Amino acid sequence: MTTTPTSPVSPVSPETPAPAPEDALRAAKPPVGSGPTPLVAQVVAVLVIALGVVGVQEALARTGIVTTSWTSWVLTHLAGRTADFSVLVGSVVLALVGLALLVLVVRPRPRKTLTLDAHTGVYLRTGDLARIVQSRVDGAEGVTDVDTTSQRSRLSVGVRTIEPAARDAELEADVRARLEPVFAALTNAPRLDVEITHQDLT
Amino acid sequence: MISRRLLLLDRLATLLLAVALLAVGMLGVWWWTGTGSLAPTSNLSAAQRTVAMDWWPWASAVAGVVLVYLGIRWLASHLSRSNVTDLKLRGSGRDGTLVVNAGKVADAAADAFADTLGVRSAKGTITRDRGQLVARITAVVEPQVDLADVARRADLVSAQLSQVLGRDDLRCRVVLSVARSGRAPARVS
Repeated sequence: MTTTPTSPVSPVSPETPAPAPEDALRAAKPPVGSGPTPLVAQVVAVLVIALGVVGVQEALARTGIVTTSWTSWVLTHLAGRTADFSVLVGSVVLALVGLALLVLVVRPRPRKTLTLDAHTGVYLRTGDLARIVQSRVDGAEGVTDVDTTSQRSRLSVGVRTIEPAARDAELEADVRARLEPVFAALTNAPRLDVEITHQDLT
Repeated sequence: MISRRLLLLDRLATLLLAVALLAVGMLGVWWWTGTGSLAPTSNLSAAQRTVAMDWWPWASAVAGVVLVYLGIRWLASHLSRSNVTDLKLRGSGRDGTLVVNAGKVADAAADAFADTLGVRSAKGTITRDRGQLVARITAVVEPQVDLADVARRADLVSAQLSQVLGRDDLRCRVVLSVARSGRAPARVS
């Protein structure tokens, strides 16, 4: 007698109907960049470690294991210092760096994606939209070169053509028609700017 | 992916550093102008007296060790990931727990999504992000991809994931990046 090997237990029974797109998981929060603060924080962490090493070195210097105390050396060199021009330059630089860091802290985390029209969360990197647009426009009649830059709210398409200027409106309409399916897939499509330049063949 | 708590700590540290640098810089400029009540030459005798105390080396050693420890932990926390390894399934209770390997499930979902026309490759993870449990699929698509079709397919894969796991708290995020160059279509002879 042969026995049929048991299949692994599936969490979904065979009778369960196939899910519809409307049953998709809810969209997660849109992806955001972490910004430059983690990098600054890592520099601060290294500075904290360095400060700790100075503290330990002070104890080693006082017990005679090392000869020079870094703390005493710094205090000796800073004591009796006058407020000369180098103090002004150093202070201004420190204040400017502080101001720049303050701007970094209050800036919101960067959003670098466009949302696709879907039930779940589907996102396209903003910069990558340019590549999709480029592939759509590349084959347009009379177009010799395409240059595209994309931002969250604006998409610029520069088209170089050998066609006469009289055909500009037709060419622009063709470009817009080619990009319509791409824009229809986005929940908030960026504004499209088409710039046509003419290539001189003479 | 950096956790929300660590990002908050990073922001707080950057804010403190910014305020400290601004304060020191403005104090230095004020000192240079000579208009305030600050002495024309720096006087660090109080600090030198403190450093000369008997307890100072031990206090600085203890503080130093604590600072080195905290600094290393802080640096290391930037390297750790917030990926979820195991997920409890519906039906878990006092009598037993049903646990699934989150990474394998996410990989299976990514594999299913990678079968979509125009999707070159896909990877899946389940992470915690800004207080949400997120099934995250990152995919590389061809420049010629049909975005509407990919969105529909992402919905289907997401719905299958929802059906399999039965977790109401799970959210989904599919992030698409476009390949720099399109692949040449396969030749059929």
